[in-house]
Amino acid sequence: MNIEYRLAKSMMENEEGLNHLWIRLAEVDQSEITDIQINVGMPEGIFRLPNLNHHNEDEAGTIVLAKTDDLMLEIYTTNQIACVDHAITVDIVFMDWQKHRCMQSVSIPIRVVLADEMETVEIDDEVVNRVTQLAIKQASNELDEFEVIGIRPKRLTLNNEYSFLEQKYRVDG
Amino acid sequence: MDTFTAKQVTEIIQLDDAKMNLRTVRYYTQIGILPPLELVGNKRVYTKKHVQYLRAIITLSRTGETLAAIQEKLRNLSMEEIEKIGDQINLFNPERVLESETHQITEDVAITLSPRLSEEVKQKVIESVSMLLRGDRD
Repeated sequence: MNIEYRLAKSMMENEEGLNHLWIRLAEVDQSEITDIQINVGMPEGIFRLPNLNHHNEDEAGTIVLAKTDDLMLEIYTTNQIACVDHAITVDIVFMDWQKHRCMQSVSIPIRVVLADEMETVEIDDEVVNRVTQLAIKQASNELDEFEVIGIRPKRLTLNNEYSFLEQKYRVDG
Repeated sequence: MDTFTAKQVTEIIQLDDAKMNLRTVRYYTQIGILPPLELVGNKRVYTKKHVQYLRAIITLSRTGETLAAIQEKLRNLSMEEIEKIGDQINLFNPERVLESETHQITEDVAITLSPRLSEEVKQKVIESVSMLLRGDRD
């Protein structure tokens, strides 16, 4: 399986920083891959929201895909962490075309810097375009506070026309 | 011109949306969802324009729009129009939406009523506005 990953920002702030990690899985030579389970290991002090693509994800954070697809993860820092290169590990277990269970892992380097050093950040427009097409999830400091916003107001439609009898018998003042 | 840091802008926006945070404000700036910052001396700063943009973005996001759709909608609007969208931010506050009732009186007029109003007052408001609109039509 081909695993391609890209980050929206070439670096992120060590405190109150936000970034997106886009992982794209693809079959090699169109050989079918199924039953994909993805586990993401975050470095200490860097957190992530549940995946933004609405793929199935259990409480332990294992993401399940029926077939190869893309995956967008919102990652963030809250309190200060060390300004060094950190790494996110992604372990992918899947069934290959011969129905053998296989595993592949990647280690994705994340450059963490002070907010003042962000002047030279490079933005990957393709990742950003993909992020902006997905429904917005709002990060909070605690995952269990997470909620999807986007509730439409409840509406009650009133028939504001005069009824037949009102039209017939109304007396205008 | 009033100028703000990212932290100050976040504090202003949190009055409308407590869940907005500094990292999201910074991120929206970095990826170009917000207009470029103003240069004052050698510092890049936020202004009221950025606050209005953020309020409009939050308002539209509460209706379920994606950031791409919001960007597209705001692209050709004047600051006055963006401010008008932002001014509706509280109408789409999730708590308010869950508690309040919105009555569509006509295609052009809808009234949102708080649960604090009695049923009698709600009915009177609806009837009064309905009568007013009928009067306009006559």
